[in-house]
Amino acid sequence: MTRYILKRVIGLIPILFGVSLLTFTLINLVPGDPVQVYLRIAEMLPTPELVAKVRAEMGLDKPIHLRYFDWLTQVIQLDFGKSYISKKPVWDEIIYYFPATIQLTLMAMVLILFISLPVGIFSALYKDSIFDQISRVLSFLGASMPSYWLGILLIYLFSMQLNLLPTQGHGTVLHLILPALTLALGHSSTYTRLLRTSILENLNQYHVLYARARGLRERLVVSRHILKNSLIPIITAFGMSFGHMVAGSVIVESVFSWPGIGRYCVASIFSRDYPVIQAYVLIMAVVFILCNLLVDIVYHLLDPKMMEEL
Amino acid sequence: MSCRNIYQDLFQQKMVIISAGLILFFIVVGILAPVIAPNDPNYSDIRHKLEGPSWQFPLGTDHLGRCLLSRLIHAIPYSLGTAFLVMLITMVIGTVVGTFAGYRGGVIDEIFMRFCDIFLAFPNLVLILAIVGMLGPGLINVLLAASLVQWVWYARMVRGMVLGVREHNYILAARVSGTPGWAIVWQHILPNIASQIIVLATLDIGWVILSISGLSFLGLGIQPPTPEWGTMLNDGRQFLRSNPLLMIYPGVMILLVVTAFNLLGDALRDVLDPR
Amino acid sequence: MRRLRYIVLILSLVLACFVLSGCGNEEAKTENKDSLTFSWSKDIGDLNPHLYGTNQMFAQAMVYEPLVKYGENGKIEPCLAESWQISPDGREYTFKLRHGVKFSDGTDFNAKAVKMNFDAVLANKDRHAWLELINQIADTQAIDDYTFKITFKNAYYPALQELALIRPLRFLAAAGFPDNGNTAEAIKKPIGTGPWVLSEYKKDQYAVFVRNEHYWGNKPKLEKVTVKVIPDSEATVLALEKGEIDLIYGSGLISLDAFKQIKDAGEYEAQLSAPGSTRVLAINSNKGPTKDLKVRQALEYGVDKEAIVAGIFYDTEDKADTLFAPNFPYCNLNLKPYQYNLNKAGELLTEAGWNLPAGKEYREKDGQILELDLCFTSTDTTQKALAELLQGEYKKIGIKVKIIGEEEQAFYDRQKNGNFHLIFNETWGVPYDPHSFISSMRQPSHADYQAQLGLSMKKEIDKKIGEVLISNDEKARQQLYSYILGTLHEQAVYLPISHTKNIAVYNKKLANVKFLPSSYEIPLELMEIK
Repeated sequence: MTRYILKRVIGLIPILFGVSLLTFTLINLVPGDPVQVYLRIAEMLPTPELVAKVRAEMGLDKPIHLRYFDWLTQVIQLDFGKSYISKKPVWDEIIYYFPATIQLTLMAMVLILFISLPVGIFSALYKDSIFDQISRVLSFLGASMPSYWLGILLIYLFSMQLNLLPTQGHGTVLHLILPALTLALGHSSTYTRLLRTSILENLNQYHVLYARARGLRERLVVSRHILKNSLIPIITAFGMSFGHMVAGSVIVESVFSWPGIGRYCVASIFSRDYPVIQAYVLIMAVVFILCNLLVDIVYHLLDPKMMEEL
Repeated sequence: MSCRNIYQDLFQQKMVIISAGLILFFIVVGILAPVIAPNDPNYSDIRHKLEGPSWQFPLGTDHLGRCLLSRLIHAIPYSLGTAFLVMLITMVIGTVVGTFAGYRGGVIDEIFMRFCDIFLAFPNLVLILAIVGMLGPGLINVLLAASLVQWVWYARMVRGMVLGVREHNYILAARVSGTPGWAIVWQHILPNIASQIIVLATLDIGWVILSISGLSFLGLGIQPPTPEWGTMLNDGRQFLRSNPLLMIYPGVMILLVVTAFNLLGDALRDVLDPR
Repeated sequence: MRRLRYIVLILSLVLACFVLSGCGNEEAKTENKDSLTFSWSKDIGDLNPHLYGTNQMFAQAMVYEPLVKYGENGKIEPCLAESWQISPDGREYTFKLRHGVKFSDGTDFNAKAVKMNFDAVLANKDRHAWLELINQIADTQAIDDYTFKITFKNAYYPALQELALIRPLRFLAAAGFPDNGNTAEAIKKPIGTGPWVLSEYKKDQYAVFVRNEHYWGNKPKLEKVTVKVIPDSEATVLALEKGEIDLIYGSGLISLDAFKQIKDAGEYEAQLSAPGSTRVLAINSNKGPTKDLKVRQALEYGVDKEAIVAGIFYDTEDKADTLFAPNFPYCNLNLKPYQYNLNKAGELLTEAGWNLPAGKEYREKDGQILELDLCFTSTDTTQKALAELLQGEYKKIGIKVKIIGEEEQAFYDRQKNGNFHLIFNETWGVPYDPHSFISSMRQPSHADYQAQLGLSMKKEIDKKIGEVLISNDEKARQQLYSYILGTLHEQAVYLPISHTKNIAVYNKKLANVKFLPSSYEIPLELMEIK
């Protein structure tokens, strides 16, 4: 087990390296001279002396591979530079906004579980019933709806017409519900269908047949044999989704004025705060990679036999 | 293995027909936009601001007095067309690269896989946001960013498909008989994986449409006054309380189109690729 | 199996705890009778009195005070300076500072503090080059504890007006300065002499100000003011309707349609201030078709301002015919307005050589279509609406207008680089107009400079601007202004559209909501809850 984890972690290193390289090259996409850009954004007059001074400060007069290594060493020490706009360390700013996004994502995942587990199980067990048909249609709609539209509709319904929940902002559990629900509804259709397919596949497996033949109560059959195996692909999907959701919450955060990193990144794009955009990309990638790693480990834990086969 | 009864089959058929029909309808309307639309989508007359449906403006007007129906229709080439373009680019590049890597194997394949790992280590939207962030908002940049990010995913899927097919008997036979590599790919491999690719594309285009309109909604994509469903949604947001229809129309459009594609893709998958 | 169930249970409990605890009670309470909550579209910023950028002016004005204040009708009133004397040649200003004023940390306000702040601002001179006041300061001296003297290079007549500005010359306590004394990047703590003190701050969410109990002047009636950050205009209105905020004050925070709806509904009070700044389009005399005076004049004649004011602004703004409203100092010049006249516009274009070929929509000259770029900020809904409207209007006289909506940064880049034919601009209102605004016309990084660059008399204009600022003679000043503003008007470099107004929308339980001469300050100290 530990050997497996070690092997995976070591395997990650070249990927992380590649990711850092890609992120570094990203900032070179910016049109124009980065020093001029910085000075304009920071509202300083670009006199020739100032330009030369800042260029030396930013290390932009060194050859590119040296710059990459400087950047990399800084990043490993969690120094992502200073925001062009606020002049504060980017890492501090991101840490400030991160918990809100995590909160949102976790709550969304809880809601997804609450929605997709029962719906998925019942759809599978009572296949082709009215319930199954309706849930299938709703699933499609949920997956096809633009999340921001859904969010605004929910605000309209619950906040304006029914006056039950606050319209935007951050502070209490009530503020969390609508944004999390918006995020959850979009993704839950995938899980519902995944669970349904997975259960259906397992329903006809031999071990289930044997269990039934042995006379086990149906409920035990379902929980002990079917569910356990069906949950495995769900867990995989969950792990990957976490990364996607943290990234995809960008739009939901904008609609609900939720102070998370997604909204911060969008604001930074508009204000051309390049260090922030760069840091955001890198951190997101690392989070994503770590999530996948975690998922693989959990997968391995749950069923070592399956991993051997792969 | 689920047993499909006749009812299911008929349902599938109907679904395929309805969704394909809907998509075709949108495409035709989009192409014929200048002919069909009752008014100039960009002509604004402040005196007709926020009116309800009338003979002149079948669906009413927006906050600048522009005909809503015309704008919805003229948005099709942008909302749908851009997505199609992205799909086309990503599919072509992805298929070419994926097939090459999958068929040749060896070192090239290894390098390719590592490359994919790195690219796919980023959530899609994050990379697109970053590229748009660096290049600046706008239609072309969004197109570029989306294509740049998506093709890798395709390439990997195609590679997987090619690997699955490569060791089949008839391929081996063709190789033994001396058929050159590219001919094998063109005549044997591609036709076999074509259906899978199509299913993939159909299922994915919904995501592309949603992403592009999402970016436009944020203000990063297609810039005004070009009509696009995402930007129309953003415009309509201010009038949620007074004229919610401004937001409902474009939202419904997106919903319909994406649902149609998803349904079509799903049905196609059931038909072409039962597993 | 049981183990799995336990794991799931524990995980979900942990999750629940995390989620709920993370939420806590961060929401600032607004139940108090003496507290007010209002919203702003941006975070208040660092509260650095010497900087611009992310620092929001209304917040800076709450905490920091100037030497002199700008009162009704342009009268300069004492603030931290009780009295002052100006030398006969107009170059030396000696201020007697008010006794007994303390910063909110208890330290004394005196000439030493004034000198410290002036030094910090002057050390960062380049940043303040847009403000002629800074360029004109030759020397500052703390003569004794309560006397402060400023010596100017020339007799700079708007000195007092510009000393009244919200930034950069307001005063921070010594304890608020960073260790190296340089406020150009950041400050340590926002300690000022003003009626409010920052007590709580959560970036991008809210800021809480409490009454300064040691304030030297009229203490505010309210005890506490909370500023919530709500970037979205629709959400702002919703927040008001649901009682999450009590007041919306400022311009551009909510759409004018929303303002009209609220006003008509009558549930909340809705007020409009007197006209402030002028909304204009700057026409580039140095690029493309707009180099030609006739084309620029045609653009002036081709706009139906009354329709705009009625349709887009719902008459909440006044039609503007000149760059500065006539009631501003030196601006009552009887300049002849460009009346809406499509025929005249068409004629001028034809005279300029732009003809409309039969059956075509747009005019052409030498095979080129008359196409102009109109640039605006894509997030500003009013600009967007205006741009789209103008596009439609100008089409009627055969001009193809390409509207380019970009986000703020790109928009500012265009202003600075002159990369536009038409671009939105706004004068600064009280107390900047007209002197500060025309002073900035000499800065290459301003849209005004770029737009005027093509004028043959630009150098002359700049020279006269320099003269008028240091002119000691009323008559001479008026003549110079007549020349400057008259020329700009005749050369059609600006297309004035309307005079903006501040709006205030608030819960009826609020009393004494007024507007100040300066549109950037919010008179929270006057407000009270009934």
